[in-house]
Amino acid sequence: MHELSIAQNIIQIVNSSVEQDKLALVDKINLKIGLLSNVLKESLLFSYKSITENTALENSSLNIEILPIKIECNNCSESSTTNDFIFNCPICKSNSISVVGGDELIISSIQLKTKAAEK
Amino acid sequence: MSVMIVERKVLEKNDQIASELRKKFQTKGIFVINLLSSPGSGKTSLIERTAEQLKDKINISVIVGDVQTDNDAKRIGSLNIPVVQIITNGACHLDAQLIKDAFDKIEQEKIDLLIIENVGNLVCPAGYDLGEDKKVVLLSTTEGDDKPLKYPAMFRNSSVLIINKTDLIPYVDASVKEIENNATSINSSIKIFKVSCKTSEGIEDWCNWLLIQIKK
Repeated sequence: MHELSIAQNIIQIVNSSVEQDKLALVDKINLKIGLLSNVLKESLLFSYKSITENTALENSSLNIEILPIKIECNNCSESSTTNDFIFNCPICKSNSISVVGGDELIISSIQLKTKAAEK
Repeated sequence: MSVMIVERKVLEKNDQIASELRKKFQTKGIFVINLLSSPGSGKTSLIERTAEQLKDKINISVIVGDVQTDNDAKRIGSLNIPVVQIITNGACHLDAQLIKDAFDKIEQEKIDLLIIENVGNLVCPAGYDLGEDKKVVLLSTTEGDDKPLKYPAMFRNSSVLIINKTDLIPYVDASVKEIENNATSINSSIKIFKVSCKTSEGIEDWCNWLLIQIKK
């Protein structure tokens, strides 16, 4: 359900990052989303498409990279990643771990088309 | 084609307001908990039992979020503690701006403990910082013992788990031990309390823990 408000936040950030007269040139918005951020990719894509219809951003789309959960073991100090929501060290099996990544929800970059007239 | 490097958090605005709130709460010496659970786990009952136990010792205020109705504010208000109801009109979680606006209404009160009762939902509220000191997740025995595994982000992000409705254990298939095992497999440092808001069993332990946190 909260993907709609996340889509609205994305639009606000794009609006404040890209000059107003270049909004229509926005092509792809590259996002990094960690597995622990509880964001459903399909739902976010749908929300974004729905609320950009008939706006300057209507030809833009989201490009979502899903990031794994990153774990550091407090026992053996090894780093590892998991896509399975298993919070054990895969090396020594200790459950004394720190989650050091996987809750990202970041706009990493915005791709703009070049207007022929501006070349 | 040109690429603009942005590297901005999508929830940066929420995080910024939350960190302002956290500073404000710290300056005023208010301990804040963000109480999270499914609908019907007993968040409001837990607040009632907590307030009954502690309201002669400390000053408690409550901000309560619901999709509709002010039923919860009426229940909590009958205990004569300051309460602000947020009606989200469909939104599935509280955000920091809503808490900021609600807190403005009770800011002049003397507050030692602020309890934020979030919207009943084990998914969306996990990602929104409200400026709280601790996230406290409540799970009732009737919901089944696998919920920590099904909603890992919520149990991972919470510092405390309260298992409620322990009085119903003889009538349900869930085992308290299994809930504890599943929760600690997700978050090995989660602090666990077992309570029954119906019989008040275990409420004292939880309230004693709260008093220690408030004095810190």
